[in-house]
Amino acid sequence: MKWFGTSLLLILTCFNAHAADIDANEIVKKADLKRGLGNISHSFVVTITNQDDKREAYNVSFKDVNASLTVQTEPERARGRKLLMKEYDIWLYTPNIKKPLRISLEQKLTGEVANGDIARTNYAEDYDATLLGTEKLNKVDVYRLELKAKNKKVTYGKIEYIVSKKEFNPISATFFALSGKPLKSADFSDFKNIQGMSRASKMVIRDYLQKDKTSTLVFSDHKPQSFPDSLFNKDRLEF
Amino acid sequence: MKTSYLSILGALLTIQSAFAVDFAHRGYLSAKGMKYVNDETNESIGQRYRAQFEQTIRFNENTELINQVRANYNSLYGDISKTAPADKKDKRELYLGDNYLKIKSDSWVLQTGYQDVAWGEAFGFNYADIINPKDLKETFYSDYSESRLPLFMVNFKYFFENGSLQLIYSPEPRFSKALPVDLFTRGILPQTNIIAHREETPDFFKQHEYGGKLSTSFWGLDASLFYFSYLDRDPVYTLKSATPSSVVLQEIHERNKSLGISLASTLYDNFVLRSDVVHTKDKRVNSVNGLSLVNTPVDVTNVLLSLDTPSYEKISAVFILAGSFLSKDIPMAFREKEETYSIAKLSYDLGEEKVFDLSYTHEFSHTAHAIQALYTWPVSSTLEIRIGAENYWGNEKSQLAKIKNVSNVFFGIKNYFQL
Repeated sequence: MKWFGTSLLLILTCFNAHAADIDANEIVKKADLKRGLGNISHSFVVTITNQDDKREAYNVSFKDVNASLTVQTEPERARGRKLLMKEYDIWLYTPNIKKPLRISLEQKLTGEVANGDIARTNYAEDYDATLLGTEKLNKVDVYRLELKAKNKKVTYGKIEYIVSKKEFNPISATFFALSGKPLKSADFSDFKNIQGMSRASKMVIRDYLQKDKTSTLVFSDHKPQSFPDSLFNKDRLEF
Repeated sequence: MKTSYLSILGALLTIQSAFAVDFAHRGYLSAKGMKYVNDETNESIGQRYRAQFEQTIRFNENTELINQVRANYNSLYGDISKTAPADKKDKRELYLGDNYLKIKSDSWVLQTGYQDVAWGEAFGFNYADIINPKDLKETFYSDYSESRLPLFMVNFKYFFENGSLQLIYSPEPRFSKALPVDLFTRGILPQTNIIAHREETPDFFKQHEYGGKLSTSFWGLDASLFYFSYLDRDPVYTLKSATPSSVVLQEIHERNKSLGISLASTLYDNFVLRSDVVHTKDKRVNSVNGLSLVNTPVDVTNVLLSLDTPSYEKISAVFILAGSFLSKDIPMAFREKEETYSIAKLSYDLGEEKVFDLSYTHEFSHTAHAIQALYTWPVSSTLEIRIGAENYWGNEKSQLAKIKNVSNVFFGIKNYFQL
């Protein structure tokens, strides 16, 4: 019996040592690379389809985590709307107003989708991660992480994040407001070879309370690309 | 004939292949019906149809040409005037909208042609939006793009880190489509039939308008300093002739010089504070002095302060304080020395981009009010429906009560297309 107790203690110690070996923030960094090209300058296209099959499309120019420009291309009635995020400042340009307007951080892009879901997707930059543990989920070994906002300016106050242990693939996330209220959940899927690495090309976001309200984001056409600094100048939005 | 046709075709194909020209065609069709609720004397139903067709010719990544044609049929206009209904005619217009050539590089953009330039941080009262003339007969709920009238400009903008310098030159001033003059003379010449003749737009290079704007962003603050020298978009009037029953006036547009500053800043992450301050030197203001109509140069300062609040339970709000102040009192003037307003606007997000807006405007100088409600419903990817109501009432001397006859309920539909 004493032998059994000692063995169990040893196994638990080893397990905890293994969990402690892996830095939670490193896991998040690796998982970030499975959802996009990381913090390198690139462009991509996002389409968003909601539960009623209403579709929107955006071209995103991503310079780094602190500068991105999103231009709406669909639907036709909203074509030409632009959203510029520069550090924690956001400006919106609409063709009928014809001038850039500073907006607040909480302004949503569409439906369940926050601006940050498209243009500020590197969780490692914005959140401090803690490893809550490991478990098996649908026969896959996963890390369960808690991500806490580094400051009040990021999209969410807290994220509960599930990442596969073997490949660091993001599997799901639950997003919370700064007040701690659960807002929505997301599932990541459709891993494809994008720029030489298997990455998630689909994110399905569900409202936390009204589960039938969904937004399906499909990411495509990732291309490393350099942009002039002036592209991220708010005074250039009207051109 | 055949040879010349083939030559032209050959030239076009050469140009197309040399520049790899891309064409894009899009536009919209819109219809709006209104039922006037406060107008006892005039037609109580109005309707307006608009069509806009836009062609974009892209020669290369840095050069493109925009051509826009607009057509309007409008029976909404005359109803705010006290002129007899027989004088009011439906308006049909076909005119060029934005028509300009855009050339850009990484650090600058040059646009030449008919275009819009919008300055200022605020919306609601656009005191800093001084460049383009407006169709002032459009109400608060008109799209800015529909009420602005394009102006021929050479528009150059140079970008630097966190800011820009914009220079503007226009050789062809244009004027706003003004409200009927009798709206402003009712308190002064109540029984007189007034006819106003428009001033023709000056020919190219007869008058020059110029100005610039320096903008920068730092520490979460956007700041702009701007100056513009231009012919007043709004008219003042001189007396042409007068009989006991009628007065004939001539519109004139004197030169204005405006200096302004615009600021916008995010506060506590989710509030946005905006401010526009514009000082105009020697703006002319009409008044009646004895039996004569005079216009007096006076400095005007317009100030606006607004606060956008974060949303709570899908409701967000904007609060605006706005004031227009003359540097001196002019007895029997067409406007008050101080005109001050507050606006509270609530927006309720109904989901799926459906929004219900409700706003209340209070005029302080002579107590008056306006309430506006608008439901915006994007039905499909190309179709948008707008249903709303506007009501203006208050002291007869107030600015808001002057347009009480436009109080209405309306239904509008707008369909966008791409060819």
